[in-house]
Amino acid sequence: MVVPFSATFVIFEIMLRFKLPLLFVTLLSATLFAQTPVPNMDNYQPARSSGALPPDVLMTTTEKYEKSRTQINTNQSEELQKAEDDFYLQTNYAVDQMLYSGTILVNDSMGMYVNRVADSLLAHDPETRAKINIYILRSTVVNAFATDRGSIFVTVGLLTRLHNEAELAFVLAHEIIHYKRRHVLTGYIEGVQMQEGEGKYSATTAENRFLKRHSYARNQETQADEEGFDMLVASNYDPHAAIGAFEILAEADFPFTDLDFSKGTFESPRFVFPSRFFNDTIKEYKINEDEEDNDLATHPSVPKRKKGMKRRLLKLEGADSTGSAFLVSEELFYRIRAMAMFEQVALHTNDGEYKEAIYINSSIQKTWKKNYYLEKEMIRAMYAITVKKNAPFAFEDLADLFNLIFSGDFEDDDEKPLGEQGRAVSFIGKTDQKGWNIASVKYAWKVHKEHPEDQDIKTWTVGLFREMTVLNGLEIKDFQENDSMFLVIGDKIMSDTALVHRLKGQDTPTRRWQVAIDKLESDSLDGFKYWEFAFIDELKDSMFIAYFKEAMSYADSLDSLEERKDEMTSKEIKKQNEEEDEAFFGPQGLSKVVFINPIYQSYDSRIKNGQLDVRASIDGRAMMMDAMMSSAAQCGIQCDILDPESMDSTQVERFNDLMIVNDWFGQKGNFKDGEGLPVRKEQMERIATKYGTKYFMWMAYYTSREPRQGTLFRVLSLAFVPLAPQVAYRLATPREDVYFVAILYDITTGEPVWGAQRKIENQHSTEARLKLQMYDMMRMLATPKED
Amino acid sequence: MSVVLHAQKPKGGYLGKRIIICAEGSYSPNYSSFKDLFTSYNFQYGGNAHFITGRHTQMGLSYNMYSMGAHNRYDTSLSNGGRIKGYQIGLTYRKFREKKGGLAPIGKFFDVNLYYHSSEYIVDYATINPFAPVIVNTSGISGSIGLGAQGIFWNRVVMNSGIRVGGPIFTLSEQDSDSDFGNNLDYMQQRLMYKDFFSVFFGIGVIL
Repeated sequence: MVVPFSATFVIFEIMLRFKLPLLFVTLLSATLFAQTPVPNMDNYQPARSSGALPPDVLMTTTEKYEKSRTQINTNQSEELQKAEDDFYLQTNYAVDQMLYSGTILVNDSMGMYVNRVADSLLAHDPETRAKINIYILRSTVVNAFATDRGSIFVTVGLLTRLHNEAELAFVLAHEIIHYKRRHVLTGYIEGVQMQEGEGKYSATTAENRFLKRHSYARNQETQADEEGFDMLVASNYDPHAAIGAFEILAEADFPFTDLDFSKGTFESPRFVFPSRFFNDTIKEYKINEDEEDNDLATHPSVPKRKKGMKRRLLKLEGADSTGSAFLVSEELFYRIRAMAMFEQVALHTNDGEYKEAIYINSSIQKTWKKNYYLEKEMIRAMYAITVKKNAPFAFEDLADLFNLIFSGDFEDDDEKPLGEQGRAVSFIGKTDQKGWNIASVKYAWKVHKEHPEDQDIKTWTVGLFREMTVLNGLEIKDFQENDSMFLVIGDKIMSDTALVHRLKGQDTPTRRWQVAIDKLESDSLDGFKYWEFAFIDELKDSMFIAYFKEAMSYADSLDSLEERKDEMTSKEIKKQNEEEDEAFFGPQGLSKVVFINPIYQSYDSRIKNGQLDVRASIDGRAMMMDAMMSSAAQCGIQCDILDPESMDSTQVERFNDLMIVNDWFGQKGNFKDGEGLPVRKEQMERIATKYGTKYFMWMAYYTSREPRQGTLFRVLSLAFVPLAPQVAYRLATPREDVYFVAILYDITTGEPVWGAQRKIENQHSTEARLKLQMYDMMRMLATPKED
Repeated sequence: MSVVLHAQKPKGGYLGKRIIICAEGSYSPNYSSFKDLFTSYNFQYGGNAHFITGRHTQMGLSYNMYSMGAHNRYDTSLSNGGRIKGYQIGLTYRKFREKKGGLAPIGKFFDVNLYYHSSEYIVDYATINPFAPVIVNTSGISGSIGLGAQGIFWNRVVMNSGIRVGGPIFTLSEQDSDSDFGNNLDYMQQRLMYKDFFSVFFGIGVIL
């Protein structure tokens, strides 16, 4: 399955394509929480957009492009004019992909605060301020970047790192300078000149051209640093924040917290993970303070930039050398940073980084104890890992494994993990599937008991029970109901009287249990039920037993189904499979479907400088939308396309719904077909009611053009005259294939109900083919099911 | 929830259009001799009407005419040559290849064709019998299978092309007005076989 856009993907795509200037970052030390005010986050609600949607979101890419190209400098060479035109097309497209994919927030609390900081920063320059809009990008990557349109994006990841408002102001100042100096455009033009060997790049080697281009980019960064610093000074922010910002940048690759990770988060006195899962020693994070400039880098080295700022600081005199760390609001700053941390937890889970999500969540729970939002997010991430661990090994896992090995990310057991997050990631990865599933059930049960009214938690808890009974084969009888036998767990301990004696000498049950487990470290986990006493407390609760029994009944019903299948002949199984396929790919008889931001992209391997044919992608998408709407009307099915291009400024709720459903589709993409996290029932039922349907579709239509293979053979076959016209046609045209993927979900259950996965080979009549595919899809959705 | 399963069954085909009317031409090399293979062709032209019967299928009727120069080598010294003229009425079943993404009426397809053909061969033995040319008639059933691709342009125009291989299956009737003059019937049967042995076709039409 094709995975929908993730914010991380979009950022790197944009950064790589346009070398957009990026900045900053930091590592919050373990003491940060203690030293700074802790806002009340008891009733935290996930960040959402609000107010009127801005033109940045509502205008189509074509409209933005047409507007941008009026600025083309007509005094330059035709080639450069063309390059500038191309830049506007490509950059508008790339940024819009991000805007439309539900990864940005509009007028949310974080964004409004950041904009207020920009107000302070540009109080003396209202003209520039009026041209700039700042948005929060929902990404864990630590970053900020500016576009030529005056949109500045600040990631959630960056907000988690800041120590004060002045640091944020410096980051914004840096980006504002990039915008004012039109660095993105000039950088792009430089790139074109370099490729073409024009101007200062003429009469030199390819290597020198490359080095010069990067040197140019570094100079742009230095200029943005220096002028951004001046802006910071002029606005009365503390200029020392520039140094702080570079310290953040130096630590950008590390998580924002390094608080101790304890496996105790998932344990209880009677349920302790074997210590072999836990690395006692870790590697410390290390920052290279002496890093020199790299000729191949687009940015100067951080130490060099920091030194540059220090030199400028020394030159400041009087009032200029001091300033305020907070001009807008200190209280608000800490609240916004806390919000960013809370959001970061969910974003990691959305991106499939469950172990990281768990570590950060457990770290910030040390500050915000028993926080409903964090506990809920913890269950979500633990659930995801349970599903991953319980999933049977499949062929695609092998491919993933190879990717991991060749990418160099494969963890060597002897290697110490990096930092506390590394320790957590390693621990979670090493735990066995039964143990982890049990820990997840325990955690979810505890939270469910505290919040019985929460339907999401209830659904997840039921799901975790079922994972435990269906995929781990565990039943109530596998668990001890009291701890009278606590010291005689497993046959190995029974047979070792010396150990029993030693165990009895320990101070606390937990410690004794740990000693027992440590003793068995060298043995296989097979037959060693270290989790046998895990539910001693829970099994006293009749409700817990009821949940457990329900899951066991569910497992039995699946077993019966399997047994019935085993009794079927191969012919019957084949017939059943065909019927299931027909039911899935065939008519559905629906009256309304909502499409989430449908994707259309055209790739052409013959294009220089990247393979995405932006113009064809924009035109193709418009064509696809028309085809969808007209086909739907013709087939008698209501088609609602949830897409910013079709919204007006008052429809911020639709924009939020797009984000929610897109997030959910993204998470689906992190799992194999049919798996994944149970839906957030209340949220999805609300959306389903609002849109009058529970059927939501994710779809993508990709076209790919490439030169045909076997040209020599074709030339030779021209000699056979009867086939000459076809052969000549093929010689003159590229090969064009289409990949069309669509999957329709019932969002209230999370189940896929219809799908299409087609590779349409080597065809032309592009427009008609697209219309036919859209029509066929609508026809399948609208046609009543056969009885 | 307001999803009600009472939708009307939408029409299949291309945006609901299911009838295709096409003019079709085909040609095949004349396999009578190696020289003819590259210099002489059998042309057929005609039309067909197809109906899209399913997501991947199309069925149709066709009418084709052909007129081929015929020079029975056994009798060239006696005759001024002649022509084989005829027509064929065919039934086509066209299946679009699902694995290649074909969806009627666009995509790669294979088809099976069954024809009734009727041909007449008029041999001009003017030097011998100027008042009564020899007339040879035959009719029969022939068939072919084909591979091709079909596309739609400007929302209405259908174009297709491909190759077919085939030949006569059995003869229904044959008649030679004067069998004393040469082996015209054998020659005619041979030419008719070559006509469909390997042909290339092109079609252009509209979808309604």
